[in-house]
Amino acid sequence: MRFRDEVVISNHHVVNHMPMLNFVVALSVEAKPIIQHFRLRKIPGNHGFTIFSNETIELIVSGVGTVAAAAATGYLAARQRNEGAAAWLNIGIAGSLSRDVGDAVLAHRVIDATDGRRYYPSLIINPMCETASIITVPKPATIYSGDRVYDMEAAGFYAAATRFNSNELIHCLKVISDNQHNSVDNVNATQVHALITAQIGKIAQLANEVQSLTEQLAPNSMHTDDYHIIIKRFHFTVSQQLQLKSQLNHWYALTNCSLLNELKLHHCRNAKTLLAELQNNLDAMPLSYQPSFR
Amino acid sequence: MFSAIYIEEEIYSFSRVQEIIERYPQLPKVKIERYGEVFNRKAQNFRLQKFKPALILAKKHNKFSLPAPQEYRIGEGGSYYFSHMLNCVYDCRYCFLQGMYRSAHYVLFVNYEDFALDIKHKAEAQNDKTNYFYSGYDCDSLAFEPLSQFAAYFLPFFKCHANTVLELRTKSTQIRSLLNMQPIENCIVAFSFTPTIISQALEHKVPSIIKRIDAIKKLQQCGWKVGLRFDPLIYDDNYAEYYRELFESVFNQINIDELHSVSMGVFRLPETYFRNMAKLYPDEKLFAAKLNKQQGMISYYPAIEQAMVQYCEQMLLRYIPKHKYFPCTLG
Ligand code: SF4
Repeated sequence: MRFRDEVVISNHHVVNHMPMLNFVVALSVEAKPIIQHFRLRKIPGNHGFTIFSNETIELIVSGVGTVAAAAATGYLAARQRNEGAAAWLNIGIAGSLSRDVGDAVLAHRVIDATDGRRYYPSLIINPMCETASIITVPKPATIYSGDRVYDMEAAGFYAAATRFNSNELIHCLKVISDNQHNSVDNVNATQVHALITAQIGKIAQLANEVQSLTEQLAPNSMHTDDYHIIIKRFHFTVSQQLQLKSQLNHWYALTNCSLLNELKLHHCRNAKTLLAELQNNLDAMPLSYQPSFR
Repeated sequence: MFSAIYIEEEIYSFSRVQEIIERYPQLPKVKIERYGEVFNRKAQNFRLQKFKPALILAKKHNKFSLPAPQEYRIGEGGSYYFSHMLNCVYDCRYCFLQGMYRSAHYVLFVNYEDFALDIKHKAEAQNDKTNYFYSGYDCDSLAFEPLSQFAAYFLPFFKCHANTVLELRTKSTQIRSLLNMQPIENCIVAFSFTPTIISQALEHKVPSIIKRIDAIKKLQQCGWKVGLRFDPLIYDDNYAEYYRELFESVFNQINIDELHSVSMGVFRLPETYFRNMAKLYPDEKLFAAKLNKQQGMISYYPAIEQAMVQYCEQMLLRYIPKHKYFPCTLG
């Protein structure tokens, strides 16, 4: 059958829907332990940022400040054009009044000190460390107050990342590098590397948790493959593409059988007749909530 | 267990709030200005949040009770619904809350006294009529009872207002608050049912039908008025057999003479809610077939809907007298 034959040809073009995990990290020295842990490799080319990756993870070194963090996040998202869900983590060092140097803190709120905007990451993951409000300041903080944690990127990162994905998948984890006893002026690159390295287990745990959440939202792969095969066959308008996606969802909700194996679609002459044929078949399919039935 | 507790600053010191947060010393607690800054945000995924929702403790400022939708009504007189809570512990795939709200977090409005005052005013304004107040529109009325103490607060209140009727709509078996007090005349505990196979497929985390029937029996034995709500009717190729079995098992076990009312409702959703729900669960059978769009609403094809309603009505009326039956009044 012609549609099935095209699987072989089209597989070369099928978009990768593997859930992605993205790290946005301000400094190379903060990024290094993460790059080593996840065995990331530098992506060659001129990106405006330094980017590292493996099959499922990308890490971008943003530079310092909210503008840089937002720009790097936007760049990575645009570059990936991922149709599925992606998780986003902002990792770095931060200051605090009373927390111990070396402690890891997960944000339950991110506040932009410049405009007062607030963001609330959903903590549906199991927090691997204490949670706190992170306040993002435009200059390194030297005076700390309350229980807050001070950083320079989280708010820019969060504002940008929530444009592309939902807040359950977007988190900020900071390692305390300075407090009222250890001034930020005394923090050097070796210390930063050591601080992040010491918390790499918690960072990996966070990465694991958000990755398994993104898998919950990953599209059915049979569905995705069928879609890419079928739309190559005819010209589909945007609204027809949406209709096809929805019909494929319905098909695979009702049965586990491969649509391209089950249906004789070769007589369809264009997108319109194919969609009509598919709908007729859907309407005629049995509907049973028996657990064994599919 | 919740993922976190968000608390509006204004109500932080309320004793009801303090009692709740003291029960969860280990959870992150985040003070917020208004619940909407967490609950109404864009970039939230209801499906993911449902794994571990947060609890938001908030104060309701207005619109404490609103006119009830036509299909809710089980008697003549004033009809209002009120929601002390948004979202539900259970996870029914047909539930419109998934399509209406961006967030699956539980919002609990703790200022019960303000709700009570509003209800009192409405009842006094129409003191020549019976005024029905339906709870369980944006949540399950009893599922959260151990924490919310909602029924424990409102039942004594309704008892003192003779021209009101409170309907607690539920699928829960959290009936201890009720069993711990004398039954009140003007309260109906209305249990919703779908057939076992459908319930197991679509009503996640909901107590089994056997447990719900047990709860009904206990309540009836203590003198509480109970109603039954077969709402929504869900289509399956075998629906006739499933609904026949459901009616048989419910009506054979409960006291039909003491039954207050029975109502039935069709599966119907505003298109925008439906679209949100189908996007959240693209792999869900319920959203995949036999559905029809008409005037902005999604429901089963008219022939299917009519056949189901007709069949189920006929079946129902074998068990109950007509005056106890309140059909869905939607056209
Ligand atoms: S019990 Fe009612 S409110 Fe709760 S999820 Fe089910 S339908 Fe929705």
